[in-house]
Amino acid sequence: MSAGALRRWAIQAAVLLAVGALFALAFANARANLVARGIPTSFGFLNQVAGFSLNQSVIPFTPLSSYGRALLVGLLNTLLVSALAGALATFIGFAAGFARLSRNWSLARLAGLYVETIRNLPLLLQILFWYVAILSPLPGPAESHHFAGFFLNNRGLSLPALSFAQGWPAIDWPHFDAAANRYNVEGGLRLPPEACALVLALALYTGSYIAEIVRAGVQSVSHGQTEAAAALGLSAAQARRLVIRPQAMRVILPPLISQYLALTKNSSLAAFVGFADLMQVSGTILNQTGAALQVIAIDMALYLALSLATLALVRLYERRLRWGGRG
Amino acid sequence: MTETFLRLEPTPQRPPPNIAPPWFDLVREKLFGDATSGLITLGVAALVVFAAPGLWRFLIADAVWRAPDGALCRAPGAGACWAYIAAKAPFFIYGSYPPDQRWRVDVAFALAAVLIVWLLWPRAPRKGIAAFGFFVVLPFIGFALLSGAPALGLPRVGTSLWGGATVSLLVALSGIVVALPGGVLLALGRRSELPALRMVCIGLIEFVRGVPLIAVLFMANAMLPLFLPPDWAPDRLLRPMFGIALFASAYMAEVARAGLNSVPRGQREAAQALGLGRVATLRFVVLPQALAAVIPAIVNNFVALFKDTTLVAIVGIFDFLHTVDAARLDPKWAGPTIATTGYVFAGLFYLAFCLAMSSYARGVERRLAAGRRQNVT
Repeated sequence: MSAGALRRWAIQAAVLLAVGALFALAFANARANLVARGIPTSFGFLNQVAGFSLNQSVIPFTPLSSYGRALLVGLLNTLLVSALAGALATFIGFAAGFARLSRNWSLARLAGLYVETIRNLPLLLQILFWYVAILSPLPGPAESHHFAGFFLNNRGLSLPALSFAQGWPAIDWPHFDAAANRYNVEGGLRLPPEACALVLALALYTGSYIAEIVRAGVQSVSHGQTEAAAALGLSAAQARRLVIRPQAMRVILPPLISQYLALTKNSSLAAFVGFADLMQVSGTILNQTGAALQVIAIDMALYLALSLATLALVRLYERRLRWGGRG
Repeated sequence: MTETFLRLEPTPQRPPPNIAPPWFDLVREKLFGDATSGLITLGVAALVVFAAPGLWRFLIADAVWRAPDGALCRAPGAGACWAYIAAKAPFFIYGSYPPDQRWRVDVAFALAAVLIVWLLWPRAPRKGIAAFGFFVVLPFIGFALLSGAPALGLPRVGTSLWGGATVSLLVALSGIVVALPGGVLLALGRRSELPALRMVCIGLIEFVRGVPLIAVLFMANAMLPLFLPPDWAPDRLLRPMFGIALFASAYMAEVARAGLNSVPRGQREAAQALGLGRVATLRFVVLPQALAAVIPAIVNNFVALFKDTTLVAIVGIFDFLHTVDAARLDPKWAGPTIATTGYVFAGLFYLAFCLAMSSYARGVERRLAAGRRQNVT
């Protein structure tokens, strides 16, 4: 074996040994500390009764449900909020991105103002602003703001939802009837104010990033393409639809997907306003049981799984693109 | 055969050029280019007319600038309560740091500011000294100043008293000091030809990047004390600082990797051909080019890091936003406009820092682009 090869093996062995020793030491310390503090060391606590209630749940949940079910509710809430905010952010982002490219000076400046301001403010500040300064002072259910079937009050936002209660799909309209229930709007899907603030802030924040991605994507299509399309006799709308959009989308999609990923991770800021997402539920369980290792391991595994699945999707998409085009 | 031509009369005088002022063309083309554009302009104008007076009244005209307590701010129709910001300013800046010791915070951050300007100023000389000062000397001096050194006559100040902008800047600065070298090391490890080293670095980077910062902070807060021997329990502020530094390092590693990838292979080979060793090649040839190419991305990363420092509130640390959010509950001032006033003020604070950093990044980007154009032609 040459001296160089020997050195390489020695370095690698040292790295692995150091990492292994670190883990072993941490593990030994953790076990001693856990035993000393009487903290559970297995995942058995997942079947115990949770004893708390959650402010939002898409599946039945009572204080008598288990910790495991609470985590499931948290995960579903994370996905629900992320999906709503993601859809809204896509709409806002594309609108603002195109607006920034508009030939109309005032529209481009307005979109620029939005993007530059929102991107440079911490997301947490925006969530707190919407929650504390805008949504909390809203009037009660009896004086709700309502518009086209939407009710907005200090109990949250009620929106029409698809319901299968009668066996066939029907729209469940929210309605307020002081005689039946003075304290709340009934029917529909009710998002608590915490969720509204979270969705709104996440959508506006991520939208500002998406706007920049869209702008960069459209600008990446060379001007010659537009001119060639015009030379071939395509109208401006046709050129946009048939020439610019397919080429821009290729550039836009990969960073767009990583924005959705960032949005999902950012939805963990729900913990600050007390919306029962995965992180908030985990925090509560962690405080009640002390099972920090297990709870954090579950969280990290779930978020990592989401991340890796998304990344795999991007890779797949990139590989497919390399097939047909210039890339 | 040639034809000759002789002009017999002077050319007629042309009319003067279009005397419309330049803004007229601008308005006509950029605001009222066609019917749609005109409608859009009117819509934007309507929005401004609708929103501006309310904003003006709330922020300036109806705002309460001077008041001993919240009584004036609670009056109906009162706007932003700037008097409250003025009264709470020391708390927002220093938290509960003992008032007679606050000069220590000022000195520490003045020193940091000088070193940062020295590092970022494009034409400043001897940046090596500044870098050494910032990354090696400053952490020690800063720690001694903030935390106290009884040997030097500086009484100890416990971290439970630290708060406000002091903590935000401290967490951000310590994140930068750790993340820049840490990220470069992780990136180098990721590109290493030794599989064991590479795997460890990739594992760490992708793991940290795959989970939310809050999870990393939870982990640092709840698990660090578990992993260490009981009498080593790290300070309550040190734990989130560790989490932030770890998180920032992983993101910095990806930026540094992009920089390393941008250095052409020939550079490394040329350095080796000149007889430079592995370390010398990295230090004098590869790293300077790699880092210079990604300065804008590095600064943008710091903008994100600065915004992310707000999350340390989740483990009970009083950073700037947390102090602003906590102060609104003070019964002496509490009122309907206090929350909004506080958030607007906090927004201006973050906006000022982040915009300054972003515009610096854009300036460097322009300089780099200009340099590249020169190289090509």
